[in-house]
Amino acid sequence: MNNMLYQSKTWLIENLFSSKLNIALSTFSIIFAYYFIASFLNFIFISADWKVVDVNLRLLLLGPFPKDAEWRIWVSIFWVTFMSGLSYKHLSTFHLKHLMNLSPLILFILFLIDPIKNIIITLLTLISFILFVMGYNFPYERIPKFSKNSFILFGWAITLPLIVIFLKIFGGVETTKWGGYFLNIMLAWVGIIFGFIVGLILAIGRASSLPAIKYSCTFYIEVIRAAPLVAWLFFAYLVIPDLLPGFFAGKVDIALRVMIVLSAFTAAYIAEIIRGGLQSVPIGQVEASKALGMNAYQTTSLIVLPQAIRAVIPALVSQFIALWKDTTLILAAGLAFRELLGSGKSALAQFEFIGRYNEIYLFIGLMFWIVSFGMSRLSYNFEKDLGLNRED
Amino acid sequence: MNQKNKIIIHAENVKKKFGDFYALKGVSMNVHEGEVVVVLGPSGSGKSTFIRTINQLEKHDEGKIIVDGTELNDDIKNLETIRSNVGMVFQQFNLFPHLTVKRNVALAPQKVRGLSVEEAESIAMPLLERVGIPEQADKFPAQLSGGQQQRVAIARALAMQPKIMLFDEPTSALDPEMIKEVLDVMKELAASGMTMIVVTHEMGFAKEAADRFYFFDEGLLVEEGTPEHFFTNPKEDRTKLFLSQIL
Ligand SMILES: Nc1ncnc2c1ncn2[C@@H]1O[C@H](COP(=O)(O)OP(=O)(O)OP(=O)(O)O)[C@@H](O)[C@H]1O
Ligand SMILES: [Mg+2]
Repeated sequence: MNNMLYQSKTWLIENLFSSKLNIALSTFSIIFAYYFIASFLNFIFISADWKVVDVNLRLLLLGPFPKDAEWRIWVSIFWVTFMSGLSYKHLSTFHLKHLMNLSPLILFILFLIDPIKNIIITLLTLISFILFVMGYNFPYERIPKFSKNSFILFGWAITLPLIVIFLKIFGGVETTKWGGYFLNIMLAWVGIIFGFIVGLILAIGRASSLPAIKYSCTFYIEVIRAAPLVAWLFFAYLVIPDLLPGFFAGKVDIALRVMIVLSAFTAAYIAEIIRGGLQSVPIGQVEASKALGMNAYQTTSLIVLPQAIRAVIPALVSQFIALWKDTTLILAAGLAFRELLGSGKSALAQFEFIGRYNEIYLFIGLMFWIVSFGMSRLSYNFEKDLGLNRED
Repeated sequence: MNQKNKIIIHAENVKKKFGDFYALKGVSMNVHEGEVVVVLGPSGSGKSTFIRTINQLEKHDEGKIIVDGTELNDDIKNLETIRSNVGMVFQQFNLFPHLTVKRNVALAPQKVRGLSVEEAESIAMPLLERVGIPEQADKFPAQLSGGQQQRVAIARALAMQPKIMLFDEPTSALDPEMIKEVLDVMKELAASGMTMIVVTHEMGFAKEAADRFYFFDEGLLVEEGTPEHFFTNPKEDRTKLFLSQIL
């Protein structure tokens, strides 16, 4: 203990107070940080009135989603937490105790949302946590025929379609009734999956030696990137219905149109990122693969793409995080559609809560931060697992 | 070795151009089964281009190439089958960096020959033993020395059980102390009866292992003969000049 104190003292002196300039800078920073943190904590625990979040929790998280169908969302959450537990065990750099780092966040949420008053939510959250641990300890090596990799991949591949079907089937919920934070998550998820798949195809197409394929891919990418996302969302809202042939009219609802636009938009950027990755793979790799007798498809899928995608994981994740935050822009596609930010604005319009924007925006910011940070940590762990990250 | 063996590679008046420039201006060569051929020549003389036409990494523009009874031309349907019968080892190793050593060796048997993972890996391990690095099987290429990487590359090519092996300056990218370990593997391979075409400047290896020398200059085959012929009385001035520079 003494030793540790001594060490931290020398560390402090060496790093923060080694010269006059250093002393001045350190003192200034410490004072600044003190006032900043103090006023921040003061706001959160004393002057803020979190009632606006508490009362509007349902609106913020789910929007107009019908109450009697909420169980469908909970079942979906159970499935996702189970799958997460299953996969986290697989990421060798992850350990269950890392979840402890989340405790300040959990405590803060408990502070915001009274766990006793919302006893059902508390219980259901506990169940999802239990499912996470169950997934973590799932004995998948006992399932014959599947290797654990393909087991997990298969599980995730069916997750999104399963959830969408499950939400809609047997008198479920119309996509136009989706809202709040849940809507942001679903839109981003669809956008990431389809944006990635289409982007991958576009990137390979752009590298094709057939001019027709090559130039149509290039054309698509350039056209999409020429206009901002908001413009494409207006396009989805106003123009697409007029363009659709009679058969589709009325069948392609606004939610589907927004999903298509988000995927199509993301795909163009993903395609360019992957193209960069493809260019980084040396030609010798292709030659070695061909010399072994592998055909063009095998060479691309087994040799070139894995290397290309590994090289661009950080850029891909940035694009996914950008998409996640861009889901707030769907406000442009009609007011009927309220995601988290939009729901926050309607909460602020309630007479009782006028002027409570600090609380609302802090909450919204936190909710967006959770997923963004989660994605960045996930990719960091993933890179480490692939042996790509040599930061530490 | 002996000339009674059947001809496995027949090249006749092979020409290759890059744009307007002829890298090969008409090369003819017969290689017999089991023969070890060393290709010599100054930089830019077309050595790499020539051996790369044999597995069609470069398509020739004129002339005729027959490999193991199949003529290489545009009509050829299963180029992949021909290629899997011709192994190639590159100057820069070109191992697949995202796969372990064992996977590097097992991949092609699995994907091209359609073997199961276990079967493919049961081919890979003895080959890694043959090139002397079974203990590195689960490492990634970047964790190996240059000499070890090149030996993995040889094992990877051998895994397809090729009839012919092509080597394009396999030791030029290696530090001097690692050259021997690679040459030893190649000598063992030559002694086992493999048909080999080797582009190299390692005259010690050439002298010991080669049956025939071919000397290239400016896209032409200038002189050919036994090692003895080259070391004692080469005919052409260009050959003499070249040999005087490298010996
Ligand atoms: N892809 C290409 N495009 C254009 N020119 C090329 C290409 N590949 C080779 N050449 C040219 O063809 C000629 C023969 O090249 P090659 O690589 O076969 O020579 P080499 O004898 O192997 O030389 P080195 O000893 O330097 O490897 C050179 O002049 C080279 O510049
Ligand atoms: Mg060369």
